[in-house]
Amino acid sequence: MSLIQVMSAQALSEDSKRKIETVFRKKHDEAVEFAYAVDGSLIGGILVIDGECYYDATVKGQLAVIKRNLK
Amino acid sequence: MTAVLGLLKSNIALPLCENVLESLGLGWWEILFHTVNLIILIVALRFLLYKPIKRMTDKHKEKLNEVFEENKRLEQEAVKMKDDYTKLMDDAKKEAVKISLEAAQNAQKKSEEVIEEANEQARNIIENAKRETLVEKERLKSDFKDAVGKLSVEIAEKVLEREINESDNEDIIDKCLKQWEDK
Repeated sequence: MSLIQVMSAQALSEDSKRKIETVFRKKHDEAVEFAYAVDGSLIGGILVIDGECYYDATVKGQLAVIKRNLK
Repeated sequence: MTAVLGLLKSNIALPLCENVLESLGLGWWEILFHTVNLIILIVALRFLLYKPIKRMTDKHKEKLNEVFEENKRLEQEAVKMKDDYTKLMDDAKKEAVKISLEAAQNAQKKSEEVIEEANEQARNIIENAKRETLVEKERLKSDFKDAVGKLSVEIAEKVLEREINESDNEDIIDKCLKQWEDK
């Protein structure tokens, strides 16, 4: 069984959790398990770690990209 | 003279002479003897005195001529040497003028070269300084941009931390899920 980690800046609502699980279950043939964690430093959005794949939709991540592009 | 010869040629002269010679106590033989003596004396004097003295004076004259000629030759030589010396001095003066002109020209050329080299170095220094100034300016611009960017992101972080609420978060999640669905 695969484990998918979901990190968010704020605690997710059940509705958000359901939507996330729906999207990621479609990517896997086998059963998957979700682990949720809260990290205030992300500011907003979510970070999904699916095995070796990173899905970064956090505000912190976006700001890091902007910072990199400004250099 | 013609009167004396005329007188001698006449018959009056001869007895007159005999009378005079008798009164003086001289005979013809004494006269002849003294005449011969005189002639011998003259001849002897000529050979013993006159000729040597003449030879000596001739030799002396010859020597004087030689000395005179030598003096003349030496004088001519001295004049020639003086001319040669004057010519040498003139040549040396001309050469000295030529050398000093050349030296002045060389010094002028050298100083121009030194000035040109110094100008070239100054130009290079100025160019290098300009280049370095430009590089420094670009570096400062870049550093400033980085600092401004960093500060802007930090400010944006702070603002977003305060401003993002639950509804905004939901919107962000919905948008990213839509994108990930198609991946």
